[in-house]
Amino acid sequence: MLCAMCGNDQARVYTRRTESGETKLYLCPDCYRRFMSGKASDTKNVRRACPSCGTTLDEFRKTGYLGCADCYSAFREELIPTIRVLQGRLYHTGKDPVRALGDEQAELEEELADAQKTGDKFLEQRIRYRLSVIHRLLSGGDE
Amino acid sequence: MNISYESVAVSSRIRLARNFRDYPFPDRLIKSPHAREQASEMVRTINAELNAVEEFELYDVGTLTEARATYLVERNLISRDLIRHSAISAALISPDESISVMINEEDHIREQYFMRGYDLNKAYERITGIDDVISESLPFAFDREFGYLTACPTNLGTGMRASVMMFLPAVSRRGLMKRIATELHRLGLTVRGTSGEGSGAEGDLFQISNEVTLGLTETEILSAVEKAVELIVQFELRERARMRAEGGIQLRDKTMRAYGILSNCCLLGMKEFIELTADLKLGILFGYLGTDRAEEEVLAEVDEHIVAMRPANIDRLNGAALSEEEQNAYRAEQTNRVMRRMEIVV
Ligand SMILES: [Zn+2]
Ligand SMILES: [Zn+2]
Repeated sequence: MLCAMCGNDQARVYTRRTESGETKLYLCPDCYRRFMSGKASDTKNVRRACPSCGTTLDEFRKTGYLGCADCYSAFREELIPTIRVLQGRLYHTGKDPVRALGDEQAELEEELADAQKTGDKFLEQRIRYRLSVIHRLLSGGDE
Repeated sequence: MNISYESVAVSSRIRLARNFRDYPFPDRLIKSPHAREQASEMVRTINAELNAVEEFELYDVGTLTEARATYLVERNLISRDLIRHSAISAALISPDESISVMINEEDHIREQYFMRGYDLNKAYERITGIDDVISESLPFAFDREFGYLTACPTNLGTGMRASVMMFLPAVSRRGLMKRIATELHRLGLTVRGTSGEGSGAEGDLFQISNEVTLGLTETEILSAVEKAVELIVQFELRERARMRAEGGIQLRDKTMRAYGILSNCCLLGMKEFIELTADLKLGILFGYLGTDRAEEEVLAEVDEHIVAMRPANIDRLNGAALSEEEQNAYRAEQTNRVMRRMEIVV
């Protein structure tokens, strides 16, 4: 079996207990030791806190939980090896609400231009309302 | 789907984990001085959004009685973790109990669809529709790389857990579960006994679900689970045939004893009840016990009866709390009654 961190074929299955339940780790013994001692990523930063919620990397290692969405940006570098171990992959390929809203927004903007040309006030109003909802859902984030 | 298929793949469940971008995750939120206002704002917006589309009943966990909360847990509509967060948590449940939306459990939102029978695609269609509605309430925490952000990275990406409850009396009694478990882990899937991780399975029921949530599309996850479920169904059916051929009078004796006790007992504890109903179901499947109705319908009735006979469910049916012995008597009497609709096939 391939080690999820270094890719050599000496991996074993380790069961790790966190407050959120059991997780299986597919690692070689060396990477397992490094992972458990927290040295897989930068140990100097364990006291650094998330600017939004105050969760530290150390707390995450103890509980297995992050404190808020911004923790993922604050600890991105440090989280990557952990995520690779837990999930085997790093990039989301599934449902994407941001892209869906973006596509809808682009379509509506074209429809809005048409409605303005034809002078359909009622339709224009409806499109503007929907666009304001989309704007509220998309704005303010890091995306 | 034919009958023998659904006598193995008993029910399907999909849950999606979601969080809102602008609030700390529940474990953090609960410690904030504004926890209550923020939580009620969240609950109000989701409730308005959902109830504009279809009917949901709102449960404020903080004001639920212990009895009512346990009743909902026994029916798998809410979790112990949700109760642990009762200061900030709520649930929205559809009238037919197929959809439950837990608010402020481990994540801000846990959307769940449950159905009797085996149809993961139908389950996904339904729950992703509910997800679309909830996504209009407040901005979700979503990252271009990591997907839906969750409190625990084990749920990252799709936030989806697709699971199928499987009745595996032949495979498990013939000591073959280990082989399945090892095989599943290699496929990024996992198997759990119904009474939780690590513990043995109650009533020969096992839950098969995906472990990996990131880097695969929802469709890929569903088909991985489906592929495994289909192999396990074939395996179980083969082992049932073997069990029946080799079991002879001992096997028939076991199921008849279950039938005898369930028909005539005066006190029936949960543990014995669960064990005997598994034997009883086996008796129905092997044709030792019959009714005037379809086999599939009888099995569904037995499973519903099992849920209805859990302690808090009994108290609710009875209309007042009972002692454990009174519950055992109630369970025995109701079970005797269900058994009267069955007869021994000679
Ligand atoms: Zn390694
Ligand atoms: Zn944070």
